[in-house]
Amino acid sequence: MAQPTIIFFAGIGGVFIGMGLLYLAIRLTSRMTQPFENRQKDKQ
Amino acid sequence: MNALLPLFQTTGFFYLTPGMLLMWLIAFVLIYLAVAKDYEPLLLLPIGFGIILANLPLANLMTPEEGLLWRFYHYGIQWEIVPPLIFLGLGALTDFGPMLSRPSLIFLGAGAQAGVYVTFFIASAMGFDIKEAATIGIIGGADGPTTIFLAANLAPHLLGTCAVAAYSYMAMVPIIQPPIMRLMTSKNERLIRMTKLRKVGRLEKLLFPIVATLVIILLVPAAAPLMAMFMLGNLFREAKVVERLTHAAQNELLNIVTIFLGLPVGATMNAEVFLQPRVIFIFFLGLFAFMISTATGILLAKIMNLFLRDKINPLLGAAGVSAVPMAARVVHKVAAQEDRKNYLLMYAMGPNVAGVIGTVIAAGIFLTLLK
Repeated sequence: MAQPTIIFFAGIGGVFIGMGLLYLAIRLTSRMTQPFENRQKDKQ
Repeated sequence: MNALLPLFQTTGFFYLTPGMLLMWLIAFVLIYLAVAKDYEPLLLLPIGFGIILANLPLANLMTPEEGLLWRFYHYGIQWEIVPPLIFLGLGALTDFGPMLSRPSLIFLGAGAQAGVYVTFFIASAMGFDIKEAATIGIIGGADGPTTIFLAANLAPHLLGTCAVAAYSYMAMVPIIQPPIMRLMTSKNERLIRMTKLRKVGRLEKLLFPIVATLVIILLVPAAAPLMAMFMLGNLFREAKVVERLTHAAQNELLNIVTIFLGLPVGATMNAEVFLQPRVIFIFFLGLFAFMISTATGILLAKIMNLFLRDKINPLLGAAGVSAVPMAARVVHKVAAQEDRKNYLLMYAMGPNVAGVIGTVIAAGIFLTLLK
């Protein structure tokens, strides 16, 4: 049962790491695009 | 009479077995569910017909190198072409706006993948081969193309069974999920109203598919075929300069590849492969995986509420399974039964589309560790 146990923890951990990185990337993108979005709003 | 016998032997009737007739019956049930009950008809109808075709003696439609359906199966599914093309269409149809609007909800899409790994572990303990256990576990993600993609890579002999289980449970989301949702939440929790979603800018939406492609594929390269196509489809959509491609991916392409997915998947289900006691276990484990995924999504939402200032409605956790948009609709419906003015649909779409990404990552991890 060693291999299934390793895959179990690696799998759950991997999914959360993936989503965590995606979360950070979204926050970063949001922060970086904010000035451009605001400028667009001002133009309108 | 003796002269007629050789003639009779040239027909398929002579070679019909009780197993084949039983498979026809199963096919008729799937076709009935698709036509009469509207259960995932786009897939269950061609799968049902494929089952009939696979159980016609002498037709040789699934004979390697010869049969028509075998070619669809080999070049479409084994060569990993059709599931990624389905994802291209899904990407073109998906609006990531609700997810980008409140990014913390994407963790619910991760929480709902726990059922995949719990079921994998249990299936493995029950004596299934480790690759078979992974294929059974991924049913809990409630994502048909990902299940087919993983099965084709790890356990092709279970492809038909797992695909039918996945699509059947996806169709039964409104039946399976609500009792678990009510069991795991209090009335007060179901009444929680969400804070207003912020407006997501065009540039942010445009950059998301590129950023997500980089992050996910760098982390789990094995998820590349599905993730790349999913995000390309979404880039078409958000770029708003290739309307023809977006329209083609959403409609013609998706419709065509759906036919070439359903038919060969059904054709893998011949009587010898399907009529085994362990198939019942696979269906049972698939249902278990789906129920656990629903429960763990809700549980994670409740845990998140311990730390969040703006509480989230824990029902949203159930939308972390990938059945888009059915799971989100069910969340909205269950919440609306408590408070008709609590409109959760848009909030639930966030974890719902995050669940698709989560299931693809889960499948990629299985492939990395097992292929």
